[in-house]
Amino acid sequence: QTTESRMSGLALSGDEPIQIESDLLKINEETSQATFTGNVKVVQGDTVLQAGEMIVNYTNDGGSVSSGTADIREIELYKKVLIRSGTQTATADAGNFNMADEILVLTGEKVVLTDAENVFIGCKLTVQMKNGQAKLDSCGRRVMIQLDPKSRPKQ
Amino acid sequence: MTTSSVSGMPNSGSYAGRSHAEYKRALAHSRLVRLFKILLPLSAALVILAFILVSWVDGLVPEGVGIESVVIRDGKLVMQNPVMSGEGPGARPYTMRAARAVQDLTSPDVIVLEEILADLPVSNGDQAVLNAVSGTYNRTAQTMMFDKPFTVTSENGFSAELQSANIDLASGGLSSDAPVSISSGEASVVAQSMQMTDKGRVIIFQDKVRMTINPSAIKPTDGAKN
Repeated sequence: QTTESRMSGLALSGDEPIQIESDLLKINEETSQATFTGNVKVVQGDTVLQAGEMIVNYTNDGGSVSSGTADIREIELYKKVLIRSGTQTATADAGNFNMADEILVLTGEKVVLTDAENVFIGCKLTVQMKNGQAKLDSCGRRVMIQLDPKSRPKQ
Repeated sequence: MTTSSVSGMPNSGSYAGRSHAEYKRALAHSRLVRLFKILLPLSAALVILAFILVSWVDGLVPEGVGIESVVIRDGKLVMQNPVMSGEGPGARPYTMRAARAVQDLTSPDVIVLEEILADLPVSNGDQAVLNAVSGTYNRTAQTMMFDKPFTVTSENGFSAELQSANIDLASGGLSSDAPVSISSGEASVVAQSMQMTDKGRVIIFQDKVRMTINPSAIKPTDGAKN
């Protein structure tokens, strides 16, 4: 049983730099992986992503690395993932972002999506970056929803 | 608190009108995911940084040494304007100049170089210039130790500033346990220490690592519906 939630379209702000902080960054050319470990924090504008570990998998697919044709394939997030943007936050144990089909999946014992005072709890949140469609699965257990009456728009 | 039936919830009639609050929230939310789109160029920036570092350490085997003049002063051989040249990666020439090279006759393997200027081939056809106050070159161990700050820059906007470093010229390893700042046109990384192993295949930045990706590097993926 899933909860469909409308997350609006996703725009790209080209004017704010991204800041990534971590205790350690390991770039491995052989495995084409850049691994950020320890208090990983990615910030852009007022959007923040935190995790214990972030692995960026990229492919060189033939293009020579120096010409920068390497491209990200996938980003893996581990050890407690928190994403906060504006009034919405999502927390989970792990996350995976597939850049090709632009799908973000957050999984965990409890995946909590809060939107202002509304709270949605499930075990898997799938977000289609293209159209902003978010789906929260309960994997058999009940999806718990807590709605804040105030958030109901007036008729 | 009873939960309303799930299916009727978010897209039920009561949400039909797009209130201002919801629109504002939608805007806030769009930034949430924009973050991930931006990571797209992350690898390009990362890889360029890594790659340029790789090439200048990649097995610089010295072949010829030219010296303007040699003076022996209190047991030390002082060479004026030594020039050491050899071949770097891809058999491309490199030169390492210094104002002075001082060799203690009792330990001839170690040469202290002062005011170093090295022109190093970078594999993507570029040249990088290394500029250091001083460094100690050990011929037999094939190591280079920079005890003072030095920089490596190249025309395409790459620059690295290290406070000190130990470089193993044979294995192409570099380690520095002092602050490091590396930037290419699109991204920069700072950290308290750095290790690079087997010719840069693996680079580790440690302690207070901060990477900044400039907006210029953020190219919206064309075709993605925003």
